[in-house]
Amino acid sequence: MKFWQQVLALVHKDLVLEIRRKEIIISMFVFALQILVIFNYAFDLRVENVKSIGPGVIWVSIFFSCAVNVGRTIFLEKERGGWEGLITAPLELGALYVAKLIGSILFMLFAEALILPMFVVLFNLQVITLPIITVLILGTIGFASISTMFAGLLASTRAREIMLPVLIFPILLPVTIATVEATANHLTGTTAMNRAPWTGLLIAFDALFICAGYILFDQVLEE
Amino acid sequence: MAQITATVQSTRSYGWVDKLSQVLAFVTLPLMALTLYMTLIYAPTDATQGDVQRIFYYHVPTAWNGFLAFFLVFVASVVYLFKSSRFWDALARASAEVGLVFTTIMIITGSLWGKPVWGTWWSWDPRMTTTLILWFIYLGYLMLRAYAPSKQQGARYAAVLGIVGFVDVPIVYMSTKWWRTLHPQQVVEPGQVSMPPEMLQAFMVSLLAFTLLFIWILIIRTRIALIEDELEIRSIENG
Amino acid sequence: MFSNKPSQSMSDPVPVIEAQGIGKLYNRRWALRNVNIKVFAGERVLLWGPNGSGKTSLLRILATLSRASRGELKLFGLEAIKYKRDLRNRIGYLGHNLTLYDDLTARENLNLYSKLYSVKNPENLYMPLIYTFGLVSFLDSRVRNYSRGMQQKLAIVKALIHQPEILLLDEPSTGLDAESTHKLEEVLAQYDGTIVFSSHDIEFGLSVGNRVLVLSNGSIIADKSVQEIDSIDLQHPTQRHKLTIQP
Repeated sequence: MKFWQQVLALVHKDLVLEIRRKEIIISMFVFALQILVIFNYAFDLRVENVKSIGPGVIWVSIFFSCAVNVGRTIFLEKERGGWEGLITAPLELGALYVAKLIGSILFMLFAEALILPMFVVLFNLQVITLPIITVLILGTIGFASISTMFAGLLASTRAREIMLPVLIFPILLPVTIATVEATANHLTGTTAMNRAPWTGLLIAFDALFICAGYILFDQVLEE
Repeated sequence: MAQITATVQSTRSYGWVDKLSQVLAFVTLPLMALTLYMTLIYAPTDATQGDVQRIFYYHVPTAWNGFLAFFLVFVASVVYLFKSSRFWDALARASAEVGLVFTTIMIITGSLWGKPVWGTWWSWDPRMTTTLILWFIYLGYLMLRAYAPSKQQGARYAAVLGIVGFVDVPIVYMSTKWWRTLHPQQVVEPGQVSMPPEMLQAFMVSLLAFTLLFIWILIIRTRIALIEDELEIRSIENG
Repeated sequence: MFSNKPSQSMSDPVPVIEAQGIGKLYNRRWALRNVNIKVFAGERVLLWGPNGSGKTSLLRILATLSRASRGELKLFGLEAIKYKRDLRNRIGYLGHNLTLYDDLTARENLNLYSKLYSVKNPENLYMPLIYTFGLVSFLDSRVRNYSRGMQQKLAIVKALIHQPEILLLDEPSTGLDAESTHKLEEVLAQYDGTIVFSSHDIEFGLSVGNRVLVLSNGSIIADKSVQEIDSIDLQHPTQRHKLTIQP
């Protein structure tokens, strides 16, 4: 199928470039690490506090570091010139969106695979469990679905590096709330009665906005 | 306003809209005056909250219009992406601006109301928080148009944001509501006030007046946006 | 084989490119105003004019990279905006931006674009051109290591890789030395589709083109076949060469 052939070619290209340039994943990791250190002093994360504040700390570090870095999968295309080649190519509807989406998700997951162990080490809280990783993946997909769409939109816009967080933070509020709450639930073992269907919300959010991106992304490409 | 329509001949005739606008001018201003009377004098003072409660008559209608404006931005954005029509882009732009103003008023009145009643300026109440998020999206919408490389592209980008933002707002409301049930605040929230008939009347009049005011301002702003576009296009012949 | 009189239609009555009333607005400046042109299959059209006259804007619109602010564009008789996905298969564009990935090798770049354009057996298509341009020994080296001229040549190969029916080239001889420019002229001579290109190099332009559109300030002020051109006096000090037209 032409669609998947094009998507795979583009994802492969982005992975090869990242392996050779090593720009995005390392920046995400380092930035998140620095935020973790700041959090230790901003909030007193002693043993009794860490379970309640921990989920917020993890997600905020990931969120902020990715908000700054993930746009680069598209902004770098624009800067280095590949962008126009992609617009003039006969790409299937949504192929570029899906390709960049998969790329962003992979980069974020790689960075998170480095960030989570650092969190465990720094704050001595075991967060690498299957339920929490599931929540993290769903949150990452939701984050990437929106940030990819808006990065494409902002590629030619002034002040795009700051506009990206400004635009996506309000829209991603449900993802923020859902991931933090769901992670906290798993950490503190809250009973089912006191929970809300956060995972369901994330799945719905992801599905909805991936569809939206698939349909709308191609609208923002041409000059 | 009549002068604006006389000096610039638009290529499209929006005659019925201008007539509607003139009718609204005659209707809205007296209605707003009536609202002032009814909400400040006619309606009785609330037993528990005192006169501060009267902010409610302004807070809720502006909130309603803020969300109505956003709905219009959504509709105009969808149509614009299909038809690339200047009218729908102008409507979206105007609606976003007017909506931002109404939303700002809603947030400020909510805060002013909250301090004496709840003891805090802000309580992370789901409705207020969702409106705040909406305010951010509006602001982002207008910033996007301002920073876009050209007006045409800005229109397309803003349309995408208008659609995504609108679809997102119910999800924001749901998530803030669930969060709130899990993390209840100490403050006492104003529940559904059982209103004596005079209060209800004052509220209905206010709601009607503000909605008509909103529509009237929206029409004017859209007209101006269309004229701005027209002037820009005209410069090709002269420039 | 190529028509001498641009206004006369060729064997194929449907123009390959048809622009009606095209205008392009960039934040308070009209880069193109009311451009009307018809290009028929096989024509080689040179866009001539000083910097800022609209050549690049026009090429970008023809390539569907940019949307016109007003007017309509049809390619092969189809509306450009509506059918852009299918049309892009049939267009090859080379702009100021070479759209090559610096950290990929030439081979990787070409293979990537082959996949995007669904080209089967791309090597059969690009190897002859790589030989012609003398890039064979650099095929597996990263584009980052290429000189400007080599990158330009590679970009030309990339534009041709999917055998487009229309070639849109924005100053293709930029950065090429005399020998490479000749090679490019040969390659374009062998190409049997339609070409619309801009150039500041008058000899190159008149050698490749058979029709000239002169642009000034966003409008087309002259549309002549190459035969009719002696010289045009444009009174633009930035031009090194001047074209004059016989009265």
